[in-house]
Amino acid sequence: MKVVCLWFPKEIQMIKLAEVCLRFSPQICFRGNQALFIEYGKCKKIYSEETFFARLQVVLKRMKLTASMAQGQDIPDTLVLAKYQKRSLDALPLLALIELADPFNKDLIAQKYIQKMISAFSDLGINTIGQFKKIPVAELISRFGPIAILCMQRTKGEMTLPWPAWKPEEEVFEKSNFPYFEFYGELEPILFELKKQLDLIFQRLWARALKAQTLRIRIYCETNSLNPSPFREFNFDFLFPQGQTKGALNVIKERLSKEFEKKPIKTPIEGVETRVTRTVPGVMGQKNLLHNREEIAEQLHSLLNQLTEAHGKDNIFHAEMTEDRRPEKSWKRSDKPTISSLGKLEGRVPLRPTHLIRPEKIEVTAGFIHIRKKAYKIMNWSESVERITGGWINSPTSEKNTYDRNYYQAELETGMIITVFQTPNQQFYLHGYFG
Amino acid sequence: MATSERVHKLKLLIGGLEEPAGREYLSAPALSCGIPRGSIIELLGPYRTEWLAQFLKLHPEFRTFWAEREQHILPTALYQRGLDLTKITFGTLGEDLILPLRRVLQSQLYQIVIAPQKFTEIRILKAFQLFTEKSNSVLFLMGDKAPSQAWPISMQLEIKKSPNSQFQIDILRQKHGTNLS
Repeated sequence: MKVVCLWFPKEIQMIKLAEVCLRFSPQICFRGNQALFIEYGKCKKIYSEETFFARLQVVLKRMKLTASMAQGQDIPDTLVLAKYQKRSLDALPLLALIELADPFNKDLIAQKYIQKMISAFSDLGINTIGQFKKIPVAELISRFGPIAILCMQRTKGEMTLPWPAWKPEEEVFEKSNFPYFEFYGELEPILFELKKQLDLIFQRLWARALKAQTLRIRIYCETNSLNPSPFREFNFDFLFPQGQTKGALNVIKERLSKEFEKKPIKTPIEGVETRVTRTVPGVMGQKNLLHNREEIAEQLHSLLNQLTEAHGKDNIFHAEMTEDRRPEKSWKRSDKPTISSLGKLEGRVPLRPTHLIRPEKIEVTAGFIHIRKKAYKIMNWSESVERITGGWINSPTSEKNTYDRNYYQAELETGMIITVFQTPNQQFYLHGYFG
Repeated sequence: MATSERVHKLKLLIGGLEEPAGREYLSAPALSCGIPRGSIIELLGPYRTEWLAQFLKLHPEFRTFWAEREQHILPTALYQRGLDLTKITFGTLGEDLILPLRRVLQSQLYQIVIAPQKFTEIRILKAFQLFTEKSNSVLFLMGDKAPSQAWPISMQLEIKKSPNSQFQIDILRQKHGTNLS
C-alpha cells in the first residue's frame, strides 16, 4: 500500500478537496478538516508516481491551498511525518504518539491516557519516538497497560490500520430548462415547475429514508447589462427537516414571493434547478394504520417552517427552562420542544409574574409608586424580599456583567400586583406584573 | 353567577332559547358553563392571563399557539403554574398578526390559539370564526380595553379576583347558549 498524506495547518473544506482527489484514486479518507489520505499504489498503471504528485500539486494550486505532504506505507506514519514535517519517525517528538495511536482523532479517552504516558516519559527524559522505541515492551505493560503496547506497535509499523470507507455524498437534484418557452419573472410558472421537481426529489429521498434539511434553488435567467448574474440563488435551511412537497413548497413560495417583490427578474428565465444540499435520516415504511402521529408531526413541522420563514427563527419558538434566577434569563428560546429537567420550582423560586417587561425606572415614595409620572397608591408591599445576585464570578474586576437586585411585589389600588426590583444604588425598576 | 348568565338560564327554562346541539364545551376554572369549542372568546380584566393559565392546566393534552406582538409572557411563570411548555409554541409576530394566525388556525394543528385583541374589522374576525369552527379550536383574544362589539366573537369574559383570591368572572356576552351537560 502506498499512501500520501496532505496535512493542512488550518482547517479547510475537506470534502470538496476529497471529491476533487477522487480522480486519482477511489480509496480516500480524511481526518477532520486537516488531513487527507490517498492510496495511490493501486493506480500505478494509470499514472506514475511523479505524474501523481505533479497533478496533486496542480490541484492544490488551483484550490489555493498549501499543505505539507508525506508518503509512506500506512496512515499513521504518513500523518505524523506530514504534520511534523520530518523524514524519519525516530526524530519525531513523543507527542506524535497521540496521532500514531489515534490517527482519526476519535478515541478521546485513549488520547487522555497517552497524554499521561507522554508526561511521565518526559519527566524521565524520553522525548522522541526513537527513544521510546528502545524501551522494553514488558516494562511498558506493567506501567501503562495495553495503550502503551498499541503505541509501540504503531511506532514499529507492526499493526496495519483498516482503511475507513468514504464515498462522496449522493446528490439529489432536478433541473428543468426552458429553451423555447420564455417567461419573465412571474412566480406562478416557477412554482409550478418547482412542484414537479420537489415531487421527484422527495420521492427519491423517501426511497432512501431521508429528509431534506437544506435545499438550494437556482433560477437561471438570460443575462444583459442590467442583469449580469446568470442565476439567482436561494438557500433554504429548514427549521425541521422536510419530507413532503407541500410543506417545502409553502416555505419556498414565502421566500420567493418576498424576493421577487423586492428584486424582480426582468430577463427571460432559462431554467430552474433544485438541489438537496443536506439530508437527515427520515422514517421509511408503511403508513401507520393505528395512528397518524407522524403525519401530524410532519404537518406541524411544515407549519413551523413556514412561520419561521415569514417571521424569523427568533420569533417562533418553544421555551426551555434554565437554572438562572433572573426572570429574564430563567428561560431560553428553543427550536424544538424540550422537556425541562429542572423539576418543580415550588419552594425554590417565588411565583413569577405572568408578564415581564423591560426594566422601567420608577420612583417609590411614601405610599406611592410613580410609573411614567403617574402616581399609584400602594395597597400592599410584600414583606419578603428576593435577593438575586451574581455575575461577579465571571468578571471579578468589572461590574459590567454583575447583577444585584432586591425583588419586591406591590399591590396597587387598581388591584394589579407588580414586581419591582431595587438596585444597590437605591434605584427602583418595574419588571413585571401579574394578571 | 353573572346577570347575563342567569337571564340566559331563565330563558332556556321557559323555552325562549334553544340549546344548540353538538357543541363541545371545555371545562374552565370558575366558569360552570364552560368554554365552547370552535369559537372566539374575548378575555378582559386584570386576571385574564392567570385564568387562562389555569384553563390550559386543565387541558394538558391540547397544543397551544401563543401569539404576541412583543414578547411579554414569561414562560417561567407558566411553568410554575403547572403548564407543559412542550405543548406551547410562542410567536412574537409584531404588527402582522392576521396572516400567521390564519395559517395557524387553518392548519387545524393547535386546539388553543391565543392572540392579542387588535382586530376591529368584522371581515377578519369572521374569517377567524370560520377557521376556529372548522378546526374545532378555541381562539382566545386578549382584550385590554373595552369589550369589542364585533359579532363573530362568541363569548366575552371579564376576569377579576374576589377578595378571597378566587376568580370572579362576568360573562359579558354568550352567544352559543349554556352548557347544561
